Amino acid sequence: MIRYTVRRLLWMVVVLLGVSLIVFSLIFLSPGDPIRLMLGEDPDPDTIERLRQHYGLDEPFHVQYFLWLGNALQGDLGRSIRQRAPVADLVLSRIGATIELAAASVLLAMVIGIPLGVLAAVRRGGWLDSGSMALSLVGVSMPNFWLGLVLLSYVALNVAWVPVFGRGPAFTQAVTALFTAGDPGPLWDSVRHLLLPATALGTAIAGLVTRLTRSSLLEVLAHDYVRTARAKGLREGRVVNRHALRNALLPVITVVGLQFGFLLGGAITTEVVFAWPGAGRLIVDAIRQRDFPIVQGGVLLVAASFVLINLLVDLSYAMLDPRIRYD
Amino acid sequence: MTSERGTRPGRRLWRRLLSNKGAVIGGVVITLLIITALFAPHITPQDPYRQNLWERYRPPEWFRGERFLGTDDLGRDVLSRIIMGSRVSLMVGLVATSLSLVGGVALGGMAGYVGGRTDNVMMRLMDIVLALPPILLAIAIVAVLGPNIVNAMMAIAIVRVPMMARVVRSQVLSLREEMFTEAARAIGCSHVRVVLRHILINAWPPALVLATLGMGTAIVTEASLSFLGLGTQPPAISWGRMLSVGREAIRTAPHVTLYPGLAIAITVLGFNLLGEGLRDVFDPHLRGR
Repeated sequence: MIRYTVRRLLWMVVVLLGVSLIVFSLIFLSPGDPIRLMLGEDPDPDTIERLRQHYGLDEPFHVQYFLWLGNALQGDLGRSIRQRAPVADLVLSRIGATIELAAASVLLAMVIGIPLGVLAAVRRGGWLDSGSMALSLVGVSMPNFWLGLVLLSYVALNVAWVPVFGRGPAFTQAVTALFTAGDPGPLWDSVRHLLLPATALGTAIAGLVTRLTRSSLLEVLAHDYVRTARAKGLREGRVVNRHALRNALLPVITVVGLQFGFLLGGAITTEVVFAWPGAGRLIVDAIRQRDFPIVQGGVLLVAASFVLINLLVDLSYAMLDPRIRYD
Repeated sequence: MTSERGTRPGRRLWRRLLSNKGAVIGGVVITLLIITALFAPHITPQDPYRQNLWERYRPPEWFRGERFLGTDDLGRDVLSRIIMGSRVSLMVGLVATSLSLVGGVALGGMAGYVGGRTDNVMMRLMDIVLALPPILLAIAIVAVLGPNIVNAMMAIAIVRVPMMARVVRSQVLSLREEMFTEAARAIGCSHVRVVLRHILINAWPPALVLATLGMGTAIVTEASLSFLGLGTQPPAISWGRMLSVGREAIRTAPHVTLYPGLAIAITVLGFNLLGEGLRDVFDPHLRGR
C-alpha cells in the first residue's frame, strides 16, 4: 500500500505540473495586454513599459512560467486586475461554497440512486426496473442548468420556504451552531438554500448511480456466495442487503467519488443560475471582465482540488480492494 | 440466435439494432432532428428573427393561435427559434465530435500501434488533460480564444480527444496482436497500411459508441457555453443562448426557458439511447446492464 501511495503521490505532482503548464499557456497565449487592461484607457507608454518589467512580462515564456509557478507554490497567484485583491484569497473564499454544493449533490444522488438501483436489480425485467431505468436515462440527459431554471421558476417561485437565490450560512458553521448553541435555525437555512441547486446538479449523478448500482448488484447476485446465502434459507432482503449490496457498492462509490471532482467543474452553470457564491461563478464573472489572473488562479485551484479528490478516491479504493494496488 | 446464422455480419448487426427498443427510439428522435435542422428555414411557422415589441413574452397558445410556444423578450416566436436553433446544436455536435474522433483516432492509433515509450508519454499527456474538469477546460479555452461558435467547437473537440484516444488505443493494442495483423505485416504491408486498412477498420465499434454518446455531451457543453455567453453570439440562434435570454424573465415567462431546454434534453436523450443501443449491439455481453 505504501509503494502504491508513493507512486500515486509522485504521479499527482507530475499531473499538477502539467495542469499548471496548460493553465499558464492558455492565459499566455490569450490576446490582449494585461497591463493595458489594468491601466484602462490611454495609458502612458512609459508606465506600461515599467509595469511590464515589474511583472516580468518582458521575459520569455519559460522564465515567466517558472516565475508564476514559484509564486503559486508560495500561495501567491497574483492580484485581481478589477478587484485589486490577491487571487488566492478570492478563490479560496469561494471554493468552500463550490465544494459544499458538490458534496450535497453527491449525497442527494446517492440517497436517490442507490435505493432505485437496488429496486431495479431485485425486480429485474419488471415495470419497476424499466421505470427506474427510463427515469435514470432522462436524469442523465437533462442539462443541469436547465433543470435549475425549471426548478427555480416552478418550485422556488411557488413554495414560500424555498429561497430563489444565494447561499445560507456555510453548512459546517451551521452544524457547529447546532451542536454548540443548540440552534437549528442556521442549519435549516443552509439546507433550504442547498435544496434546489443540489437537486439540479445531482440529478444526472443520481441517474448514473441508479444504473451503476443496478448493474453492479446484478453481477454480484450471480455469484456463488449469494447462492450459498440463499441455500442457507436466508430471506431475500437479508441476502441482498447484507451479502450482495456491500460488495456491489464498491464500484458505485468509486464512480461517485470521481464524479465529485467533475461536479466542481459542472457546478459552474448551476452556480450562475442560483447566484451561488462559488468559485465557478467567480471564474465566469472574471472571464466577462477579462480579469485573467482570477481565471488563471481559479482554474488552477479548482483543477488542483479535482486532482486531489481523485487521488483520495483512488487511495481509498485501493485500501478497500487490494487487487487495485498490483495493477 | 439460429435465425441469425448464415446472414452477413452487417445485416446481423442491423437486425440486432432494429430489435433494440432504445436504439430505435433514439434513432427516430435523431432522424427527426436531422430533418428539422436540414429543412429548418422552410418549416418554421414564423420568421425566427422577426421582432415585435408589442408581443413580448406572449404565453404559449398551443393550437389556439399562431404563437404555438409563445414569444420571447423581443416578441420573437419561440417554436420557430427552437427549430432554427436545432441547426447550431446539431452542427456543433457533429463538427466537435468529428474533430475529436480524428484527433483521438490519430493519437490513440499511434500510441497503441507504436507502443513503448511513445505510448507511455502520449497517454500520460492525455491523463494530464483528463485531470482538468472538461467544462472548466472548455470555458478556459473559449475565454482565451474569444467567445464564438467556432472556438466553442474547437474547445469541445479538444476536451474530448483524450477520452477518444484512450478507447482507440486500447482497441489497437489488442488488434495489434491479432493473427491478421501479423499476416498483413508478413506479406509486406507498410505500417501505415496495416494501421489504416487492418487495425483501425476493426477498431471502430467502440469509437462509434463513444462518438454517439459524445454527440449528446457536445450539445450540452455548447448549450452551457452559450448560456454563459461564451458560445454562439447573436444574432445566431442556439438553444443555450435562448436559455440565457429567457433566464431574465424567469418569473413572468418561464416558457421562454422551458421549451429550448426540453429540446436539448430530448436530443441528448436520443443520442444516449442510440449510443447505448449501439453498445449493446456490438457487445452483447453488456446487454441489459
